[in-house]
Amino acid sequence: MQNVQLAEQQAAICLRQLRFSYDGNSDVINIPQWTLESGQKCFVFGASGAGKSTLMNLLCGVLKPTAGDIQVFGQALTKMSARQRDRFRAKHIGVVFQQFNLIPYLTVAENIRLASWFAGKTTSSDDQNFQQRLLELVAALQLKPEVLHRPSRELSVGQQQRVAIVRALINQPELLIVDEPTSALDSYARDNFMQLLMSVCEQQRSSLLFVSHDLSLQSYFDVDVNLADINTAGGQ
Amino acid sequence: MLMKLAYKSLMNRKTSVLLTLFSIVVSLSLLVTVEHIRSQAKASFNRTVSSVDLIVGARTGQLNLLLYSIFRMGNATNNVGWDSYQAISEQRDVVWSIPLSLGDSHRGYRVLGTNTDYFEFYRYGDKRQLAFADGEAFSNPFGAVIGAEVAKALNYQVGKRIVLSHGIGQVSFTNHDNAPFEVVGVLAPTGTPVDRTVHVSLAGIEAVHMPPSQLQALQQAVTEGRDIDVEPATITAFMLGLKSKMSIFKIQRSINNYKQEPLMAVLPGIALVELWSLISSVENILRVISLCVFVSAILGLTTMLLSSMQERQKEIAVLRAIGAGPVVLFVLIQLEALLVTATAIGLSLGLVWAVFFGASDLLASHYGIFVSTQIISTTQIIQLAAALGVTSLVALIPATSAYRKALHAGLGQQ
Repeated sequence: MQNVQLAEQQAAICLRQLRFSYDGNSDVINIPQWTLESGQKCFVFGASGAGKSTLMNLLCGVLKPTAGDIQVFGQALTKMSARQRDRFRAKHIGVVFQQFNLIPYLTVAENIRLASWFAGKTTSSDDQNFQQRLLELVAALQLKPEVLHRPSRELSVGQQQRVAIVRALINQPELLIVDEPTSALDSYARDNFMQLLMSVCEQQRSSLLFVSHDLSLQSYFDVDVNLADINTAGGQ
Repeated sequence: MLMKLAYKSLMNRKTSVLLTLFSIVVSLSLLVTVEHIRSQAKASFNRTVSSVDLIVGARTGQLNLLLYSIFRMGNATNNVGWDSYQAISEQRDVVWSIPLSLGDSHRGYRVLGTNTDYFEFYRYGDKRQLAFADGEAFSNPFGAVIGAEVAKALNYQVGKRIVLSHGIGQVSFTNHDNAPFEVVGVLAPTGTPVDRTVHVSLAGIEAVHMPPSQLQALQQAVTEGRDIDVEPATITAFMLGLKSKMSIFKIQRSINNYKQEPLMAVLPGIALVELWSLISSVENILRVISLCVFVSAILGLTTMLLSSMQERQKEIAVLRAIGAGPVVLFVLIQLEALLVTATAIGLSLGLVWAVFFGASDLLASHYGIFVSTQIISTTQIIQLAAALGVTSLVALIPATSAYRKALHAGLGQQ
């Protein structure tokens, strides 16, 4: 299932009757219907506690919905085993967090290589492709190649967030999910980061789901969604 | 890749990992040492004497008799009359007999007075006969045959003139200066107390204790090539080889009931078993202690890993995000634990090897235990594999914790 090239014309994300609750409590998520078209850049905003991280965990296949259906590029996450969902995430979804994106004691290159290893790229020819793609992405995100061999804990927050994008995109994922990536950046670094993110997404033709509560970023995106509008459960 | 991750993760917590590693190395070294000494001591004891059916000495404990006659440890409480020795060794069932006369030393090495039958009939290890590395058996009262270790330690060769001292200390106040012996033979190494013994004839032992005038007469006779029969009044003990195993108990009974003199005969095999059971209780205590130390060291490892889980919550979220499943995290923690123990195994084997390499002489001279530096044995491998097994078992606790965190915590970083 994972090896099928995902069809471009299909919707990036398609949610139907999606419901989720923690341990049988009241629903945190109840989304009757929502679709993100392929190639779109979507801004999802909502107050804290609106269910943003729960939704993200559901889309990544880390949590399993209580009911309903999640399709990512036509693949039903809800029909996969936990192991299959982990594999699917490794190959098709890139994730960037708010702050802590890299294993601090690995070098930048090792962090990124680890991501491609989990996507099943373990042979030496994979290694060559990896090197090539790594250098492309590093250049695209305006990072110096020297940075690759430094322990990631030595990097500034801004550099770390850009490396996180390289890491998220290394396996050419169709979908990039980004969670408040700019909250630790100052305004100059934030604008720079957003521009790089947008251009590299276009270049890679990845769909983007950007979760934030910072409405000033809205202008970068094709579509925006207030989570409160689609989620009838209204979070926790 | 996971291995590399485990390694780097451990290196990231260098101080606590090194301390834990150190405690495991100490405990494993203890385990390995106890096991090695046990097996070596057993082998060393068991190989010391073979094919000897009975050891006979003055009435004493059977262990005491075994220790002083074979292991050259301790002293005889009493001697055996020469007449008794001759009477018993002339019995029909006796094939050979070896007289043993102890009590003197040469620079800390025991001197054994015996006859040339010793070189012919004494067996050690797998029924092996004593072999000469150089020279031959003594043929006159002043010839001495030295064990391999004596030759090596004192750098003696055939032709070297030596002097025996009365008593068995390293430093003796009464040197029998006027009885110079000559080394006529050097034995090949045996890995038994024979290596540490200076062998002379019974006449030689007598000569050592002769008044000067008598000694001079004897020396004169020897240089002139005359045959002089010097018969000892007593010897310390003797060994017997019998025609058939069936007669062992009969002869033993007759010796134990010997009318002229209180004597006792022991079967070396049985005495060895008794010696062994005595030692093995000590060894079992050591084993239990080292096992306890090991368990506490492994618990330290687990505690270290478990307490690191809290700070690794974010790390787990990152690994989850790039596609690591809960099983991968479980395996990662197991790998870290096993990596520490495996390193500890390597280090402790090296350490123990080095210690035995340095201490083997000391063990041989003080305890009569001949220890090889060949540490790896089947038992040892089983034991070390069990150490890995225990590690993996105890590491289930932090590994399961990682698994659960991975399963339930999700990707959020709050």
